[in-house]
Amino acid sequence: MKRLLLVLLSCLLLMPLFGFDLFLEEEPSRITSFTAEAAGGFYRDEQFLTRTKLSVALEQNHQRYGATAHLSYDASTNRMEAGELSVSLFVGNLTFKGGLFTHPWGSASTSHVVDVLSARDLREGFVDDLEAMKRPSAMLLLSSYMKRSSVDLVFKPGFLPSHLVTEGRYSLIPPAFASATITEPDTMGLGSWEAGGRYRTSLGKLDMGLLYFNGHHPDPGFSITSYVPLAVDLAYTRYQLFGLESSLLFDPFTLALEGGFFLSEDKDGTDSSLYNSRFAYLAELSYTQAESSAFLALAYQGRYILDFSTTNPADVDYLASYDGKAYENTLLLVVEYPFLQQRLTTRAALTYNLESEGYAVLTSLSYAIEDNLSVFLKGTVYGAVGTKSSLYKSWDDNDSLQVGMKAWF
Amino acid sequence: MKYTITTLLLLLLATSFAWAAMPADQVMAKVMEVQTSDTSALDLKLTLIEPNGQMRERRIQTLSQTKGGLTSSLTVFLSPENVRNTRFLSIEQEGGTTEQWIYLPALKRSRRIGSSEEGGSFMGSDFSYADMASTTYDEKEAEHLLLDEDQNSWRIQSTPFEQKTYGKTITVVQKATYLPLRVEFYDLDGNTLVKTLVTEETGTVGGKPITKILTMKTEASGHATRLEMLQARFDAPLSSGYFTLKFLETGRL
Repeated sequence: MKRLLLVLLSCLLLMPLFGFDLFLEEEPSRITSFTAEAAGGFYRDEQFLTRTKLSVALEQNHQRYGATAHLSYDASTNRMEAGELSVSLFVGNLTFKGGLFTHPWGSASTSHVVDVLSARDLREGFVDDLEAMKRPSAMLLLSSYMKRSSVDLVFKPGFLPSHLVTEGRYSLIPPAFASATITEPDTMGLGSWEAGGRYRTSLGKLDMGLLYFNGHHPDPGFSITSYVPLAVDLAYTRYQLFGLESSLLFDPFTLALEGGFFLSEDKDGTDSSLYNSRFAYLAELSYTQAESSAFLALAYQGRYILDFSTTNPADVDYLASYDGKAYENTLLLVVEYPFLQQRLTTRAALTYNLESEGYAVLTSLSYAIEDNLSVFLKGTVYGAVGTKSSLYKSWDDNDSLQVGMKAWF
Repeated sequence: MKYTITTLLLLLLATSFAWAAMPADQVMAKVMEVQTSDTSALDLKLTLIEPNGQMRERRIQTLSQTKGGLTSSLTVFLSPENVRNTRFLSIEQEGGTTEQWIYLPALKRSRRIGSSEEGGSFMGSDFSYADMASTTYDEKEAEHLLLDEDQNSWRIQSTPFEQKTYGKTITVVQKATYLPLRVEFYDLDGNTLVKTLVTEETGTVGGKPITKILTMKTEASGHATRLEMLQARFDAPLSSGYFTLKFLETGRL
């Protein structure tokens, strides 16, 4: 609470505020904005659902530099977090950015397989915002823009892995490991550095990029150090990604392709605590209807794990697989349809994993009472067609319906 | 002899049609000329007006630059807060095609958009993206026909050669300034009135006549959008760096 008051106080002490203004381009601008969101509802197991979140965004902008702080306070969990704390310097066609932030890679709209700079955050399950499901990372980013191309170079002095949710509704730990003593390695040292680059260019209506990244699998592998009581040491697998992203506009359709080969440090796939090398691929066809601004996208996402072993049930690749298979195929369907001059927006997203027969359905209806105030109704359903175990199946009781409102000021 | 008379009559008729069509072409060319400048910077307020009178406001700034007959434009959304810093870049290419990108700050990504989306609503307003670029056609884009005129204005029907969004428009042009005072937009069938644009206030900036306030109304819904020019600069030096993917994605020159 003290921290929240401190943030509010610092905002009040700021100078009179300006908006970013092309007519005042020589003057630095300072922008403070708040977002408040409150929601309530029910889970399928009749537990009450509440969410109260206050976010503040502070920006200082100048032609040559920029500083951004995005902070949020979740009253339901009494948790305050930074979504971004960054400083940028603009010199010629170069942009230097450093701090804690997310930087997107990948060309598709609904999902990504090469967006590797930030780990996943599934503490609230699947939500209809890909950026909200990311964990910001400390990194240094150098971007350079040419006429029809650009280069990103990134260095991370250590890394933040995916949030390891060990208990509660969205636990990612199998029930057998629920009581285990888990030892996590320190991933924020220089020994856990990550680095990479991306080159993007436009060829007519084709935009494409080539990527290289030397980093870590964001989900942990593990080795069992004691069976009674159960104790595990987590280990993160270093890999090199050789990837590409592309999107081709053939009006009114856009075809996006992403793919990559993740070359694991466990090259021959013999270490059961580390993830093996794999291919990951995604194809997405999207369509925008001009008259209504309706958006429709159908995507296929898959992966294939090399040297996959079904004989060792403790192998992390086997444990993380769907239905014990080396491959995984997932279909995604996303629809967005605005009504009433974009005042009312309906959204629906369906994910279906072929191997586990698991699915997740996210639906939402939001209505803008005013430009800075909207109300929403959201429904989420997890489940599986059959009896195969999967994340979708284990989150089956997390089906929920919530109603809330969001204000910007 | 019969054939000669018929030929002469046809020639006379054709000549009279051509004479009648000339002023309309010239007027619409002049309308476009008056609205064209090498560079422009506009600060605009969009007010969305519901049939029950309820209003919502948006602020945008638009920069444009014409070089070698090719126009590039950049639009930055300043408010409301949930769309602030959304940027839209349009670059006209040789051969008549236009490349367009939109940068969405919430996604931190830029996305290429197709020209078919030109007909889509601009920020939930009654203007389409194409309307924001221009509400009239030049002599190369449409066939213009003078319907009637009075002391102050011409009334001209324009039928676009390539019918993307509208089947025809009828424009009332002020003789003194060559500014459109009223534009009626008809559906592709050429008969159904879809939208009406009315100029509410005109003025001058550096001697250049401009439309300061105009309102576009969608006939079927009764919804309307008022567009008000808060600041304007024409033919002032403007960096080409605004019309690049770098500015689109970083907001910096």
